[in-house]
Amino acid sequence: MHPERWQQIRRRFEEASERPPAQRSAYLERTCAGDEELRREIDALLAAEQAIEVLGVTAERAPTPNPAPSIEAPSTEAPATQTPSTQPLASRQIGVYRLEETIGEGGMSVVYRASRDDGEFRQQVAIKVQGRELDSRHLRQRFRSERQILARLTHPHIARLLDGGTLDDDRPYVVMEYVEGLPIDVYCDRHQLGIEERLGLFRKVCQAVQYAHQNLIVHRDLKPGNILVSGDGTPKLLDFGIAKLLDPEWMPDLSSEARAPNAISPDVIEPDVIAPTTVAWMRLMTPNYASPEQARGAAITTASDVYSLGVLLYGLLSGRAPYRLDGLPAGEVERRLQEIEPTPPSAALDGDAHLDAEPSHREGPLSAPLEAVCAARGLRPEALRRRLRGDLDTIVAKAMHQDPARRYSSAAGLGEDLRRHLIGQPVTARPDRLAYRAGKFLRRHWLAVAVAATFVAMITTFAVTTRLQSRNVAIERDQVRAERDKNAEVLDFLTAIFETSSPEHSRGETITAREILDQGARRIDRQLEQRPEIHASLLVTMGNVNYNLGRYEVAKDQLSRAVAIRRWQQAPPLAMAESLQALGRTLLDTSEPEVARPLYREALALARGVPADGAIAEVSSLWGLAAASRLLGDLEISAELFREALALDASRPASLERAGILTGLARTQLERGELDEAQALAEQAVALERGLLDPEHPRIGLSLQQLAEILLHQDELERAEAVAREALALQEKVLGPDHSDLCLTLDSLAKIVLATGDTEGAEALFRRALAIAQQAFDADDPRLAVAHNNLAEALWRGGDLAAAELSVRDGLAIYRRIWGGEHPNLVSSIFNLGMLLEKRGQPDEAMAHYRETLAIMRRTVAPDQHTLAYPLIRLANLLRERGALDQAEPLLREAVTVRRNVLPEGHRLIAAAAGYHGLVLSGLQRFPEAEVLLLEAFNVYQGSTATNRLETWRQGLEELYHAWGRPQQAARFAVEPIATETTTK
Amino acid sequence: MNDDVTDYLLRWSEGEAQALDDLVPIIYTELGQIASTHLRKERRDHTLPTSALVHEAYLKLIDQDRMAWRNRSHFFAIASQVMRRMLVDHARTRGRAKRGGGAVLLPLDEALEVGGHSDDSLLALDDALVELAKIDRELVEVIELRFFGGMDNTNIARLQGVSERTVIRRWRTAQAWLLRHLSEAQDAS
Repeated sequence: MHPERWQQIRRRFEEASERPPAQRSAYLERTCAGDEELRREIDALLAAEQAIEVLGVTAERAPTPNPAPSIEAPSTEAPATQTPSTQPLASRQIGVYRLEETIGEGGMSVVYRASRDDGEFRQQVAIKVQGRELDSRHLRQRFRSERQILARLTHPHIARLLDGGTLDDDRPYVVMEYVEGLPIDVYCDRHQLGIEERLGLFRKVCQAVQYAHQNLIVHRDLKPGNILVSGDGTPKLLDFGIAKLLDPEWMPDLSSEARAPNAISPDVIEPDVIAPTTVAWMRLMTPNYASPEQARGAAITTASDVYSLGVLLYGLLSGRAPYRLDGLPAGEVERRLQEIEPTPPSAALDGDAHLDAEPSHREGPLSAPLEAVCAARGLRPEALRRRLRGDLDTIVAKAMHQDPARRYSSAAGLGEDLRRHLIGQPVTARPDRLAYRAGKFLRRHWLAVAVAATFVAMITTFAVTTRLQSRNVAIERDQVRAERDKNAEVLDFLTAIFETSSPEHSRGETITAREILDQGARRIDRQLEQRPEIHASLLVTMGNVNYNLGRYEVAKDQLSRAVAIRRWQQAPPLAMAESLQALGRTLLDTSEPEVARPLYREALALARGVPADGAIAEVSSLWGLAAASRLLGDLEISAELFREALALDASRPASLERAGILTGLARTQLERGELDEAQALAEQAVALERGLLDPEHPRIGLSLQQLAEILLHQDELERAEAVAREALALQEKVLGPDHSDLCLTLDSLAKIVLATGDTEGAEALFRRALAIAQQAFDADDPRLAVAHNNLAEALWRGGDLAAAELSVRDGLAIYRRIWGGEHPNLVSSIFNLGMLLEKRGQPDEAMAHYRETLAIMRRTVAPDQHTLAYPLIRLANLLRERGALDQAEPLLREAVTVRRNVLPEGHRLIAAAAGYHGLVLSGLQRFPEAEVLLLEAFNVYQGSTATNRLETWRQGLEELYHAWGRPQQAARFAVEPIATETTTK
Repeated sequence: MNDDVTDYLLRWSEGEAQALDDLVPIIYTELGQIASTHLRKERRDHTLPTSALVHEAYLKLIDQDRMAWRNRSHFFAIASQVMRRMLVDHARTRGRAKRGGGAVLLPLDEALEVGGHSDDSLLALDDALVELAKIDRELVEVIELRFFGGMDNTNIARLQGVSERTVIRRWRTAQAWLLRHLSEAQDAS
């Protein structure tokens, strides 16, 4: 090619690429003016750019090399022949994994159970080997980078991708976490879960899917077989993104896109939309769970996963499949999905008469007789039908809408609607007819909606910049409240506009403000597709409004999309940073700091790239990064970041933002045990706020509460109580007696009162906090669990063990609902329950709880945590009491080891573990070992106030020497051990 | 050594073309040494970002006090090219070694595997850049600076005397050209 010709191509390509996708075609028509070759070249470049963008979005998330050991086989020059899918593996070893058995075999792949064994550590994995080789270096490279992205998906309900590579013959394989469990539908039926429990389980699946979508990964093959539920009821999604990873034909088909550039424009914000060929898809997916667009071979998006979730929900509820597609030719599958609307689940319960003709089909879970379906759900047929009719029919229909744009905009949206259904709130899904009418109305009043949205944008943008987003989750809740009021005003205003002009109004049907907001958002999505900058900024606005209204899931969805659009648009750095921060703070509030942190990190880098104007964004990014780091336990880093923010902020006049940073740093220092500094910082924050705000501003109440908490940790009970009461009085006066902010203050005050020994006073305060929490929060809110646990502690100390046990159980039940069966956050509740049960004389139950504590800690907590010793010792002591010394011994040995590894020599906790170990060893007649340990315990405890323990060790030594046949030495420990000890010296 | 390099660079930036010929082998050697030093210190599976190498070479070779910013960026521009040459050389050597060509594999080769890019893709990239250089030097330079030199947009913009936006634009165009070119080459093979 001649350089001049290239310059011609390049100039026009760059021109076209700057334009919105929809306008490109017209521009090129004009500018290429019949030069077919020129047009072809430019189209090819545009398509290539599109492909890069799609890859680039994900690549930016994966800047570092995969830490997992790469076990890629060296590329050989073997001829690329077709390999039959079931070709046996030449060796029983893949990389470091030894194959154990074949656990699944599909048309295109084989799954093995395998293990990795390096002597100490044995890990079970599942390895999926694809039948066809990757026969180009492009695909190999793609495979590798995709794999790295997937390996970063860490969610309790998603099976992790651990590793991957290609075999000697270039067949790709992936190594995944090995999950034992039943497919979700089989699990539900076998455990006869009722509708509520099924929905609860399904919502967890939605959360996991949402998490992956936020990480820009689409599953593409959701079905019961890919969602296993373990014995304790925890679902795990398998094969996330694997369908794409293992598809050897997955590759942007540049030539076909070049011919039809418009085909790729509508979904530009979806990073994962490269269309596979239909043939490839029909091979890989299960037609029964595939969306119409998937069957068509069109672009796959997150909406396709939402559809599959809809099909899954359909089956879990009704025990029926929406379509019967097995064995149909591809064209027919496509036609049915496209043209036939499925029967609502409630109506699908009966019928299915054709099943009788094909008895062989009746074996699967989706073709059981009606009686069996009803029995598995614990309802009689009529009751089940009634249960499904209405909300649930509508929700399923919305999830499975044939038009992707009319489905839930995210998996979280689907989960949220189910939550609303479960707590009796109106769901957002509407039967199609009404939605259609509302849509028509909004089309007619589009201008009004647009104006209103701009109005909302103005107000919230103002609010956001004045607050700098440097928002401490608890401390600034009052501002949220103020804003919520402001937003409510805006929304009322909007509602008023719409109601007066609404055709429905006269017929008594009103559309709520939230619905209008949602409709407006959907409208914006459709209308502004071609104006991505405005689209993104309105999404940020809407996201902020929803955030302030406490609708976090909706906010997350909108803000993630704003981020994706701006990324794709290469928006100016500060705009990009703004949307990242908005998404980040929402994620902090929904306890997803691990997702928030990289966003803030990116925002920080962007802000730093804009020397002067970026300073504000830099401070707030630092704040977010610091807060996220604290929530993730990186306390030192958190403190450093807060300090950096403070230093940067120092050049500007004192502001509430600075108070927010001070408060944040105080919190971090409190958690690090730097109490004096925490106190000083909290006092500074209070002083700053008093100078800037009305003396009765509720924010001051929250800062005082934190100060009280710090004083409590410093044991300055008198001052702590005074400060807490001051905070409470202020909040009661300004917010009223039932406001949820009072929970925190009541908790702190109660803890202080408890520390002074007034258990009854504490109990009353905790009860009041619990009552408010029950009103203010969801039944599944962790704050409610905290309130239960606090009350339990007061009851326990007051001696009411039965009531304490009930409270702990209530709290634990909430935690289990939130986090499933196995989560580090469950540990202390389970352990406490064990201790309560032990105190109440139920050693068997207590032991079961200690064992569960241990099991969870071993799986989830870092091995160098000495806290593991607590349940070890408790369990061992109960075993010792019932004479099971053999079982107790190794537990205590471990307890001693973990404590020695972590704690300084001579620490009392080491001595205690050693003492108990000595007692058991003595009982096992292993006298020399026992002697050393008991003496260690005895010596460390001498002079301590813990005379009970010292007495235990003394007795232990006395008995040891007697049993050992050394009465002289026994005599030294017989009476007045300390005196004896000193006189013999 | 410090003074030599600084002098060469100053002379080159003042228009003395011969100075560049003297400069390249020094930088080449230095980059290689830095890479193998790292290799001895670090674990074997640890790969080095090329930008770190270049930066370290700069600190070692250049007398900071005598160097104006503009010359500093010249250094990075040259180092980026040298980096490219070095990586490609090593990829070729390694290829020969694997085919039994008798070349000795240096430990350095392992250090120079850039962030998971395989030899094949590196060589393919190099070939493509040779092609691109025939029609558009500007784009090649952006790729060299970003990919091999690890420079960011701001510094590339200053070096090339254009706006950052233009750099981003060029980078995007260059990427699109590369993807198209590489996939065509793929189809042909």
